Amino acid sequence: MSVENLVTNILLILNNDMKNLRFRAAYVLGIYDIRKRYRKSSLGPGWITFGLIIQILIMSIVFAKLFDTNIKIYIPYIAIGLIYWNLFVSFVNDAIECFSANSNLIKQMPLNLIFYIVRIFFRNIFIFLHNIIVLPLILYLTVGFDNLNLFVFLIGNLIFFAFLFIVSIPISILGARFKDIGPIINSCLQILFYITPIMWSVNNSIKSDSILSYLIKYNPISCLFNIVRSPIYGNSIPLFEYLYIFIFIIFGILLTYILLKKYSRRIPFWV
Amino acid sequence: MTSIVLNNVSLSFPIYGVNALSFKNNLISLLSANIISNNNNNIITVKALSDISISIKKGERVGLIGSNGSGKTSLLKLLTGIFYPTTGSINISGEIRSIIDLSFGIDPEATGRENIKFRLLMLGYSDAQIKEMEPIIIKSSGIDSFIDLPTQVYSSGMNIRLAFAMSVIGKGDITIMDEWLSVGDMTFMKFAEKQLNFIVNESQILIIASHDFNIIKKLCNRCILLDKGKVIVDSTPEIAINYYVENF
Repeated sequence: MSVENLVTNILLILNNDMKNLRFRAAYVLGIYDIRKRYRKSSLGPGWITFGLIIQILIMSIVFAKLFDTNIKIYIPYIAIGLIYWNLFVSFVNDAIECFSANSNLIKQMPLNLIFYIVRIFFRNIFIFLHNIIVLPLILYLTVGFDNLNLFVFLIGNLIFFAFLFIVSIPISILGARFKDIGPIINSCLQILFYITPIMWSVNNSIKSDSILSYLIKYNPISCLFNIVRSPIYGNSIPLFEYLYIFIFIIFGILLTYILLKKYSRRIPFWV
Repeated sequence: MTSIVLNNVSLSFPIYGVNALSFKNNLISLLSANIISNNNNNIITVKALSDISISIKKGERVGLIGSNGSGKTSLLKLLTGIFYPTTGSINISGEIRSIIDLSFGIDPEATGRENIKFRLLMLGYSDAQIKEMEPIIIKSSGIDSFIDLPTQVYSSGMNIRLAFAMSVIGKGDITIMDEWLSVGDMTFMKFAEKQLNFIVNESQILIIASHDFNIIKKLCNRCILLDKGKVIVDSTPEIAINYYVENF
C-alpha cells in the first residue's frame, strides 16, 4: 500500500469516526459549564483564581518551612504542582461521570461520544486558564523570567493536555460501565499525589537505585510534571520524559480506539 | 432518494443488576473464578427486536403499533442512530428529524435563549443559522419576556412549548415520532397541530409509533404491528389495527 493510499484510508476512518462530533457545541457548553457554576457568586469564575492563590500561599508557607527550602524557589514550584495537579484531578473526576451525567442526551441524540469528552476538556482547560494567570505574577515576584523558556513550556503544556485527553476516554468508559469506579480512582489519585513530586521535590537524599527513585522516574505523572516544570527553571529539556510520555500517548490512542470501537455502541445501555 | 432498508435487524441489550454494575464485585468474582460471587446471573439480556426486515420508500407514512415493550421505541431509536443493531444492517438515505423526547438536553439552570442555542448547536447548525432560527423559535414558543430567564422558573406548559418549538424547527426528509403530541393550552395546541401537520406533509417518510389508532388511521398509509420484537403484521392501517384489536 502506498503512502498516499494509507493517508486517504486514515482520513476516511477519521472522517467516519469524527461524525457528529459538534466541536463548536462542545466549546460553547464547556464555557457555559463554568459560567453556570459561578453564576450566583459575586466574584464569578474569579473564585477559581482566588482559591488557588490562597492554597499556594498557605502550602508554601507551611512546606517551605517543613522542607527547609528557600521559599522564593519553592513558591513557583508548588504553584505549578498545584495548578497542574488540580487540572489533572478535576479532569479525571469529570471523565468518570462524563457519560452518566449526559445519559439523557446519549439516549436521545446520536452524537459522537467524543463530544462529551471534548466538552469536559474545554471546561477544564478554561478553569486551568483561570489558574495559570497566577503563574506570571508568581514568577515575577520570585525567580523572575530569566530562565523561562516559553516555547518549551508551551510544548510541554500541549503534551500535558494531550495526555489528559487520551487518558480520560478509557476512564470515562470505565465510569459508564461500573458505578463504583469513582471512589476507587480517587483513592488511586490520592496515592499518586503523595508519590509524585508535587509538593516535595527530588533531591540528593533519594538514592538512585531505590524504589522511590524508580517510582519517580517511571511514573508518567511525575514525568509530566517534569515536562511542564523544567522550562520554568531553565533546566535542560527532559528528553527521556518526552519520549516516555510520547509512548504513553501512542499506546493511549490505540487503546482508546479499540475501546471505542468495541464499547461505544453499548454505552447508551450502560448509562 | 429517501429510503430506509432494514435487513434481518436484531437488537439485544444488557440490563445490569446492582452487582454487575460494581467494579469491585466483578473483580472479586474474576479473581476467585466466580466462586465467591457469580455476577453472570446479574446481567439479563433483553432481546428488544429480532430479525426485522422492512423497507420503507419515499411517500410512505408508517405507523408502529403494539403493546408496551413490544419494541416500538427501540426500533425508533435504531432508526435515529442512537442504538446500533446487534446483528443485521440498516441503510438510511435522507436526513432524519426525530421527535421522540421533546425536552431532552434542556438545562433547567440555563435561560430559554441559551437552551435554544445549545440544542441547535448540538444538532449541528452554524452560528449564522442559529441567529436566523432563534427568533422563529422564540416567537412560536410564545415565551416572550421569559426567554432570558432560567427555564426552571417556567411553568410546565411554557417548558413544553419551548421544547416543542425547538423540536419542530429545521429540515428533515424522514420524520420519526413517538406518539402524536398534544401540548400546552388550547391556542398552543392548535398551533402545535398545525406545525406537526406541516412537518408530516413536508417530510418524505414518516414513522410514528402510537397507541392512538385514530391518529394512525388519519396519518398513515402503512402500519406495522410489533409484538415481542417481531413484525406480526405489515399492511394497511385497517388490517393491522383490526388484527391487533382481535388478537391482543
